[in-house]
This record gives sequence, C-alpha cells and structure tokens, in this order.
Amino acid sequence: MSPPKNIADTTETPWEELATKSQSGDQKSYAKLLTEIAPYIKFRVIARLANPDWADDIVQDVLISVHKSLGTYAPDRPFKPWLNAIIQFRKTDYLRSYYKKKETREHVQENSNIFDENVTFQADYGELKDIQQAIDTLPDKHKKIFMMMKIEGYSAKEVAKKMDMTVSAVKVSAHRTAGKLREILE
Amino acid sequence: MTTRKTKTNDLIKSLSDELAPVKVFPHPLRRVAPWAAFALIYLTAIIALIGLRDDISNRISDPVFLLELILMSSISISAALCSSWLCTPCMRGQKWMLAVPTTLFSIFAIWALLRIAMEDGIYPVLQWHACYLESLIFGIAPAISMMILSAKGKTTHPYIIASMNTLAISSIGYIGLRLVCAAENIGHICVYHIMPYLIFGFIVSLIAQRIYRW
Repeated sequence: MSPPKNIADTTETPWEELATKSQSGDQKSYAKLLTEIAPYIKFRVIARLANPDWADDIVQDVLISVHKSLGTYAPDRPFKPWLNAIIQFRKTDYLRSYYKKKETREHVQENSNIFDENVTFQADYGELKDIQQAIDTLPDKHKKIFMMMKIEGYSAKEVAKKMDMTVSAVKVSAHRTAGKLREILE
Repeated sequence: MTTRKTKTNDLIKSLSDELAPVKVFPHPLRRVAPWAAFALIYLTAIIALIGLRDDISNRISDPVFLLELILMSSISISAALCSSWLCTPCMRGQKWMLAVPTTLFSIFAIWALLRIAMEDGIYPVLQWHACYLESLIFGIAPAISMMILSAKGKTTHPYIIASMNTLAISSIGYIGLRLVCAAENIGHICVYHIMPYLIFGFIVSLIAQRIYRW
C-alpha cells in the first residue's frame, strides 16, 4: 500500500495554503485541511502500533494538537514536517501514557494477590465450619466479645465501651475464649 | 484518551466550528530578542549592584579569561536561539542548530575537565557560600522569563528545550559569577559556580514534561 503522503499534491489546494487560510479564520479551509490530514496521520501512526485501535485515538490527539498549535505554523515553511513533528510527539506521548497506565494496572494486579491469600480456600472450608460450630457453643457475651475483637477487628477499648466493661475485663474474656476454643477444636 | 467518545469526523467539525483567526507566531529571532536584551540588562545591573571583582583589569587582559567569557556568551546565545526555535513543532527545519550549543558546551566541559586534571584545585567542602546566593540572583530572572517564553511555545521536544533553557541561563549566570567573584581555583568554580546550575538543570529536566506540556 502506498502512503497517502501525496494527498497534498493531488488535491486542488496544497496543505500549506489551507493552513495559511485557516490561520486567518477560514473555517471551510480548516475543515478541508483537517479532513485531508486525518487519513495521512492515521497512515503515519498505524504502522508501528501494537494495537491498531489506538490509531484513532492518536489521530484525534494530533488533530487537537494541530488546532492548539496552528499559530506556530510558518506560512513560508512546508506543512508536512510541521505536521510530522506533531504526529511523532503525540504518538510518543500516547504510548508513554498508555504504558504508564499499564504499569499501574500491573502493579495493582500484583498487589491484589494479597486478597487471594486472604480469601478462604475451599479445601479449608471444613475447618472453618468446625471453628464456627465451636464459637456457637460459647456463651453469648463471650462470643460477642470474641467476634468483635478477633473477627471484626475492634480494639479492646472500643469493645469495652460498647459492652460497658473495663478494657482489662474484655482482654481477659477474649483470651479465655480463645483458650476454650483451642480446647474444643483439639 | 482511549475512551474519547468524539468520533474523528465530529471532532473535525467541532474544531472547524470553533476556529477563530489565530495570531501567527513571530519569527524565533523576534521572540528571543527581547529576552536577550532583558538578560543583558539584568546581568549588567546585577554586576553593577554586586560590584566587579577587584582584579578585573588584570583578568580582562588574560586571553584565556576572555576566551572563557566569549565561549560562555556563545553558549548562552546559541542555546537561547535553539530554545526559541524549539518552540515550534519542527524547529522550522533547523534541527542542526542544536549542534552549536552542544558542541560549545562540550568544549567548555573538556576545558573544565582538563583544568581539574592539571591544576591542583582545592575542593571546598559543601557549605553555604555567598556564590550560591549570587548564582541564584544571576539566574532567577532570566530563568523565569526564558521558561515562560518556552512554555508559551508548542515544543515537541520538552527535554531538549529544558536542556537548552538550562544552558542559556547557566551560561549567563556563570559569566556573572566570573565577573564578580575573584576566585580562580577550579575547585571553587566547580562547586560554587557550576554545581548550582547543574542542580537547576537536573530539576528542570525532571519537570520538563509538565512545564512544557501543551
């Protein structure tokens, strides 16, 4: 496939002229310029992309950049080197941003293993059921203190406040309950 | 970016609809000229404020000292020109310009390394010195104005423009310091005259993507 780099030569108006008219606010010329350069940009970026779907995103980025930097185009200079510099810049920018996000995603995935480690493995399910049954045999007050401290993660001080007890009494209760559970399970 | 909903055709239409006449960027020479004039006036004013070194009449007759000043002036001017050209996406097709400050700086670096190797330089310990403050004073206003000038442009080479800005500013600061500080010891020059600008360049290169983003 031959590159559409000759588009500028085959159209009636060269891109240089369209760009110069665009600078003076000619919307029609500008629309024509953007429409003509869009396939050229796509051709320039798509060749070395790992994912061709990114091409459209980059094309749009380049078009926005052309819009932002239209004033920097020098009418006495060829248009294509100016456009190519923007294409290269935005392509690199896009890929850098993509791989940076990818690294972040991978980092999150790597760290998500910690959740896997804490999720109950099915093979341990029977053991878990035994523990639950042992807890159920406990008196309600002891059960509640143990559940709050060891399972729900409340501190002794918080449990003491909720149960209207002293902190040391809560700690003693939790310790004794743990011992009792150990005896039951053994 | 990947989830941008606007289709390319819709985008073209919206961009065309919102087009207003744009002001064409002035020629890079015209953009950098006011900065160069300002930097020169600022340098002169600060030197006048601090005072020329006592042995300036002797030093100015030393060809090596003169060459050093000419070399640094050339680096500053060429780097400032490159910074201005870099404000347009394709550097107006003048990428060769970058070779000028780079080569001149390489000459300066070799010259400094040779002096380090051949002279028995006394390297001062790292501590607060008046030259640090002077390097800051000499550099701050040209640095801010140069970076604003560059940030207003649309560079496609943020790291190169950052290094060119650093070269332009550092060279001006270095000239100023050489004209006000009487120390000739290469150790003093490296630690108190060059190092602050190296640190400045390092910081600017770290944030170049943010400063020159558009």
